[in-house]
Amino acid sequence: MNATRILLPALGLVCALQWTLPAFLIHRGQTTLQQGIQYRFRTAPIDPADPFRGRYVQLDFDAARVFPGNLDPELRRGQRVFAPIRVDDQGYAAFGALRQTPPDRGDYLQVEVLWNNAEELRLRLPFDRYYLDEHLAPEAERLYRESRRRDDPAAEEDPQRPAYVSVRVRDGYAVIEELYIDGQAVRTHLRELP
Amino acid sequence: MRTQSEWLLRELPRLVDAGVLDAAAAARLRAHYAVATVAQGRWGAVLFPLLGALLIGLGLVLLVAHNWDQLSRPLRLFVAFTPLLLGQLACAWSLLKAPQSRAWHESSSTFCALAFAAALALVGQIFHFPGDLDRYLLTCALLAVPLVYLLDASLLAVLCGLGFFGWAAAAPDRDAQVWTIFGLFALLGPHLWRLARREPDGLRLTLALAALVPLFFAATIAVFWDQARLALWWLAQFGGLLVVVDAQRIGPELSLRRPLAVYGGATSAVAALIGSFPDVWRDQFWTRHADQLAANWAFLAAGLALLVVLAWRAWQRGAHRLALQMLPAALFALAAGIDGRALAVLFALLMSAYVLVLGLATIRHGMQTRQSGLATRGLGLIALLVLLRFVDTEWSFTARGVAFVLCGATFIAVHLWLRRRIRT
Repeated sequence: MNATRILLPALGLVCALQWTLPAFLIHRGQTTLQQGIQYRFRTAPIDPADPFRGRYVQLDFDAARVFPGNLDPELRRGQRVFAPIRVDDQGYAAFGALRQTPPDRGDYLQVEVLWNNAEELRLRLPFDRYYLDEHLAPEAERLYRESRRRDDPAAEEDPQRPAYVSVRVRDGYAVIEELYIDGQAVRTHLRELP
Repeated sequence: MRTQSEWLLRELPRLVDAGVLDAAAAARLRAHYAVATVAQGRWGAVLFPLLGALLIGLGLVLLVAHNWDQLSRPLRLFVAFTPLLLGQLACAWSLLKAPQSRAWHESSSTFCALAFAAALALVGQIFHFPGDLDRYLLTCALLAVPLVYLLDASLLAVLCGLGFFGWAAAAPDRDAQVWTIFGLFALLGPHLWRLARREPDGLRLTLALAALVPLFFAATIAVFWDQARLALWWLAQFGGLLVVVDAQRIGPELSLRRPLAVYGGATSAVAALIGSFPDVWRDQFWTRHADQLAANWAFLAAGLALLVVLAWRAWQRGAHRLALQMLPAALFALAAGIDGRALAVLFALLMSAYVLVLGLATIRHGMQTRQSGLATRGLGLIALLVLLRFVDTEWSFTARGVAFVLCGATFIAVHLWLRRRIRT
């Protein structure tokens, strides 16, 4: 009985922690969605699966590639750095020069260096997956491929009909709002398919 | 094991009649094996609820992974958190109403931890929260550790080990440092220690060690994956440590109920056999990951110091074969600190000599204690050393051919002689 007197409150603490962590995540995510600044990241969706969280659309961002001219040979694979967010002429998000510390002003993301060589520095953004129903995720990828090939089968990317995600960013934390293909939210798009 | 104890119990009246045992000793043996038999029976009652909880928990994770887009967010959150609440209530019920039930404790804690993992995954999925697999696994495992202690749950301890291993394997290079991995697995140490004190020969301890030891090793070896020389040092050292630590606990004889000794002996032998190739000593791989080198060296040096102390104590006790276990680690440690390319053949010969001596010592010990299995293991070790020369390009084909024929004939002769000696 004495042991139970100690164990039961301790179990209560563990249970409280098990509720607090998801609650904190939900609160932070909702605050970001409500108060964060919206950016559009141009992307290409592909369709993989996670054993725990299921089917999702893997997002391959244009902004995650840094080409000669902006390369930093000092950065190592696996290193985490800060990327200030800018908006390009077409209204899509791009990154400024990578930094070791967060910038004093403006939005930024913490990104991870995937690889760094003479031709390309590749980054991993903190939001690189958009979860979908296990039957819809492959459909989203197919939709994107068809959309690209519709007018010009040889074209790599049709700039008039890009895929992008809208993301809300607040204090360096980012949450995906929606994935768009052909300028239309992917879930709406998929529901309209015959 | 059970068959042997049943045989012994059947033999007791005859042994008492023959005056080999007195009645009191026979009664004590009966009581001892009755407890063991009941304990074994209890495991059946524990195993099925445990498997049930594990399967239900994993099923929940898979159901969550479907991504139920057609359900509203609040409904999906309700679906996510209901199993967690049920798991927590089951844990409380176990403590209050079934404090002695191993089945309830193991099943409720496992279910609760898996329900939490499913809830966290579903929250991330519903809101598209950013999150890496490594951090997710680490969070789930860390939050499950208190349940291991509150409910004395060994299966959950193994699942935590699995989570720590998953984190180490999936984490970016800089995150999974060797000391951090050691610290995480050390969180499970007191649970094993308590088990070892309460049920030193229990199946629960055996199974927990059988699962956690390789998980710890696999998690740590990932840190050395591109530092081949340090990885070999760690391989040899880990094996040596397991063997000497196990011998401190329950004596030197080997059996499958002692996973530390089995894993340790095998690991140590594999490291020594790898070291018998001169090419292994010629490459220099430890220049990469400069930021981790200091931590890795410190970790290995601390392990070597512990191994030397334990081996020295074993030597003083007269357990010379046991003390020999430190030699491969010491040799790899020596070579890791110098540019030993010129000494590669010498190192390989020393390692081959070690395997030969260890094999001969094992054969001798097997003969002295009349254990033909042990003697055959020693012979097998020497046979492996010779067989590996088949792919060793340091020797000419002719030399290897003649040596193989001679060794093969010697092995057959020695094996037959050994069997005859042990039987008589």
